[in-house]
Amino acid sequence: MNLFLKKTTKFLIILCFSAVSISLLLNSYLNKKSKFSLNNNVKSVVFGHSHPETAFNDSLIVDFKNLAQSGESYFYTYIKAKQVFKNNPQIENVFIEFSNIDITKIRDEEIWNDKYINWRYPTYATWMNLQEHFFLLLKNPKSLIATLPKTYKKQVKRIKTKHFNYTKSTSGYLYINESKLDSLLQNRANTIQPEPNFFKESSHNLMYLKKLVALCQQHNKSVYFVRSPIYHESFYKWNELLFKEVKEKHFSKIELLDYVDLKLPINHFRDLHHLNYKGAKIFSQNFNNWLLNKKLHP
Amino acid sequence: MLFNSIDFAIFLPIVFLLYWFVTNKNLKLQNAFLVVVSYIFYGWWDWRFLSLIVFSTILDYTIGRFLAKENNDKKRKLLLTLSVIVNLGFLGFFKYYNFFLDNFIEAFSWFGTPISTRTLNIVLPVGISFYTFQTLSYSIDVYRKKLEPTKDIIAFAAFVSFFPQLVAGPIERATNLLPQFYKKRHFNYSLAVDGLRQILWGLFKKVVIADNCAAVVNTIFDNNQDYSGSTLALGAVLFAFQIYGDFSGYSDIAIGTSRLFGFNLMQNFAFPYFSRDIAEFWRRWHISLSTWFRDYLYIPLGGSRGSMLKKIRNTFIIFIVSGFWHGANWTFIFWGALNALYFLPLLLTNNNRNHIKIVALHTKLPSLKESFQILTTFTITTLAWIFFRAESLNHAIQYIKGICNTSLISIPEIRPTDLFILLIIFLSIEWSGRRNQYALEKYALQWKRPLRILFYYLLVISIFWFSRNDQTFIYFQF
Repeated sequence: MNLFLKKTTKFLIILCFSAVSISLLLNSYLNKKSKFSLNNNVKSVVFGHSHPETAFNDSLIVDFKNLAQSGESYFYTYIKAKQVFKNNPQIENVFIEFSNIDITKIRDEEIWNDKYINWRYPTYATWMNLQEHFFLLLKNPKSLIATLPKTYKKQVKRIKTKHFNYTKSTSGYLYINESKLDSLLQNRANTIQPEPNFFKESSHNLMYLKKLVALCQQHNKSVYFVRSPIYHESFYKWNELLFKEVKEKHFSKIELLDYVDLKLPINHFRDLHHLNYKGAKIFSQNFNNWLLNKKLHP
Repeated sequence: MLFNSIDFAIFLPIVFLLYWFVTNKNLKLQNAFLVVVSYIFYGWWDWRFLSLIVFSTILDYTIGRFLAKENNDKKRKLLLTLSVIVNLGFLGFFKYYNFFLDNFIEAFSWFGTPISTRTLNIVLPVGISFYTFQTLSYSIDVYRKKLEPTKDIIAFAAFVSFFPQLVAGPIERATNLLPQFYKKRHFNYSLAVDGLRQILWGLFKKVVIADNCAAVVNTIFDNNQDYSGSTLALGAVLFAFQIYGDFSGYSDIAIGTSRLFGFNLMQNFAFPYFSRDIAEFWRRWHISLSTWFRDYLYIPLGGSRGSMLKKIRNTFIIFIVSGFWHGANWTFIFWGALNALYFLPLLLTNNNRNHIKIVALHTKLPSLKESFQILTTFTITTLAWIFFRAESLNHAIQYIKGICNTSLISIPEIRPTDLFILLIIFLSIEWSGRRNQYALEKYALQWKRPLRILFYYLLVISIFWFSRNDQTFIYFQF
């Protein structure tokens, strides 16, 4: 029995050691090679999830780049932002989506639940430090381990194809043509009761928002929160009190550009929470005017 | 709990260590421990259905005890009937209730009498077809006085619920597995190493071969109207490898895991795709089920004795029942019937036992004739698999129609090169290990140790590299 255990353990140790070594090698190689280069004229960027991703049409906003991506919680934004700032010292202003869903426990889950680890980790693992890897490992070891093959494959593929620029694969304005809001309202989608976690304050996601703010300040960037427009009858507004409380308690000094109540016709929305291209056009022009008035881009 | 999950990767070493280091002093404790961990293994999926296993265990144990005491033939028959009715009743309700109801309604509507009734939203308990047959074999063997009924309910519960083979077989006979629970197990180094090797090969078959074939197969079968005949033929061939990799992979992991605990389970697959005729194929495919049907259905019906009509009837019964066992759908029944049609000419001309030993037993390669036979058998088997995989009879017929046209002689739209390479490697290893219980049993053993270890590492890496998330085992649904 002892011999069996000894040999099996040895086999597994070598296997784990090799896996970790390969992982470290791949990560460090890609980390060195990876780029997040934006045009030199880009002075302002927005981070966040699908709301800003579909709202900020950066072709209509001067010297601006949309760096949001669907379902991105602050944990991943923080990791991405480190790379963005490292590669783009010209950035002066950082807009961070701060909406009713971001302050809730739902977003905490979206850092480490199966779907999001499987989606994000293969790309973001390259830039994570040990502490961040361990954070995910502790929160959802099963999913993290299950995602490793996909991560390795993706990393090797990048090296093989010399695809080191991550800008397109992790950010960008999402053009949406359709509008489903009409039928959603007919089906009373706006009255769906959100899950209990929607009314509970996030701990981890907000912690990473604080880190993100600190990172911006450390790099001398001006930080603004922004709340993208959503349909006025959305259930996302049901935790408005909590939203205000969190803003006041943790981020009272940061200016919030609140577009949540921007009046837009129904056919300018894709659904309750996302603008389509028509909505994005009006909103982006509106935002561009604000930027110009504020003279943030000299 | 799936064998190819992280849960099982954690569960197995913990159970292994507790089994050999904590509970090894006492046989009863060791068996009780196996019952508990088997229930945990099963309950991981849905603990509510554990009650079915517990009920089945108590029922068949009790019936076994009564059968031991009873000498009156009528009463003995009554006891056996009770066991059969209750066990098959559960299986029938959970697996076939909606099927019969739907067909009943449809049959009535054909005669112009529409009836309205509601189907039930029934969840099929995982593994019910497997453990039901296992417990039934116990009752029947005790009734036939082939087996002494057990007095040890813990050993019996362990036999019914033994976690490696609980949810997808092999369907063990009480005569083989139950006595193993009576004897004290001693750790056997070579048996355990062999078990690990078989687990490794099983994982390779499942994760690398079956799951990667599944990705292509699903695309082709779900959009069959969009593809040429050659692509559809490729889809059918890949499904043949998917189902083999999936199910025989599961069996290998089950047998290998049992070996780690000192148990020997029966071989369930003996390289069926190297068969030279359909009779040989059925002696090599899902052996535990085929022999179950042979012993408890075919032979009691008269088997291959009697008039020609009787032979034909018995062959159709066994194949159709076997098809129906796989699922409550006409596709499985048709699949069974088609196999019966393949098998009948061999039976009626007394050619069904021509190929008992594995092909090319003493040579490296098969002869030209053997190669042709293997290819023919594989082709007709693959044709039958189309019914097995299709959603409905209509889907299967459309699929076959799609194959049978001029586009069959064209380059397939889908050409998974990586998968072809994997299949060639896989078939080469299977071929070279065809004389053994499983392909890897003696493969690479004569190599120098570092090379052999490197080969095992390569297998592990390929399992890791080619794994796809959340691929369940096909046979769980049966």
